[in-house]
Amino acid sequence: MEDKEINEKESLELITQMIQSTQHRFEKNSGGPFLIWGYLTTILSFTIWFLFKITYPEWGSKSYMWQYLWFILPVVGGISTFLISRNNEQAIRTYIDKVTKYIWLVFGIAGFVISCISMFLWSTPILFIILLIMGMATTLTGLVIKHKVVTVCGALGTLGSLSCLFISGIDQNIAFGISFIIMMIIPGHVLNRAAHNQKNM
Amino acid sequence: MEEQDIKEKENLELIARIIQQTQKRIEQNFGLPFIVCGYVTCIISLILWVIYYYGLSFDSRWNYLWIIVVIASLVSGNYTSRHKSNATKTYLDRVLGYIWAVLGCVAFMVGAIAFFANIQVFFLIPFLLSLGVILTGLIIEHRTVIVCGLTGTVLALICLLLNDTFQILLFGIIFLIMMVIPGYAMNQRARENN
Repeated sequence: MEDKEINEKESLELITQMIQSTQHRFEKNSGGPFLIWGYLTTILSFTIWFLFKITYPEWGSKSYMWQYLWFILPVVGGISTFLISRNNEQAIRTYIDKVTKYIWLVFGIAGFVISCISMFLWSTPILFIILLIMGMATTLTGLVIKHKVVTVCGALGTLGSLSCLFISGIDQNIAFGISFIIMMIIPGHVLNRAAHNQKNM
Repeated sequence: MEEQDIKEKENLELIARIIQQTQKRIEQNFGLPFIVCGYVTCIISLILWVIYYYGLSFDSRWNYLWIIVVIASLVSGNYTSRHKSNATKTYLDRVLGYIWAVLGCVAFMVGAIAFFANIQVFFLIPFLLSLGVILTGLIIEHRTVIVCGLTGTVLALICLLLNDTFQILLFGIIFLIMMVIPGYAMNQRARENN
């Protein structure tokens, strides 16, 4: 009986260690993708806004063609994320790893599908929807890895999506870019900083 | 060395037991709110569709009936979590709780905004909730739940093709497929496990 109790205690310690190691490893690995998608989206958002503004007087509604530049995002972001995850050290995969992977897989695919539909088929308030989806994914990631800053930034991004409903036309891109700075770039740097501090401890 | 092997085996068995136990308990906890939310949404959709389609009223205040869905979801969620709280809460339980808390808040926010802004609410709410259903299915490894969630996503997109009245009707059907069926499927597996 006593022997069993020790084993259970050890088992619980092992589980705690696994959770702690996952949390640590997640922070070390996740800052990169947050920064890639965050910077890329923000740069594209402001670039498209700028190009639209300078070409609109001459081109008129043809300036909306600049919106196709958004397709750079899945290509560059996808390849960069793949390369980063391939270079990462192979450690034990736990259930929490799987959960965070599922969150980004489901919300990422949903974001891509709804963007394509909005671009080619039916009109939807796409920037609002994307901010809502990505804000939820960031909030959930923060909650899963128990990181307050990531959770708060995700919640702010979700609330920031509302700004797109009250701003019309191409100016929505500015609100979109700012929301991505809060929702992706800040958490990315915070996670990298946390990983750096843990490494030096 | 041999003793170490036995300990590791025991550890792994314990982990497997904990995961199995959690999986079962999640389903017992989550089945009822899914069913309640699904049925209530479906009934209200049907009532509103009859009212608007047959021209019994054109008063938009009938839409306040949706508040019943919010109350029913909160009450059923609270009821199940209170009645099962004697068991140990694991990290995985909390993760599923987070998913539905975040989605619930966002769905409520979107529903509230729909009173002031035109945001295709009958598409957006099932679209967002279907992502939660797919995630739940993936986490608890339940194929029926995943398929129902995916069906919900596709049907939500079809909502964009319909006029307002038929969007209400499809909204109810989506909840029947996306919430009620997974709810029963999860309860069924929970009973089988017991």
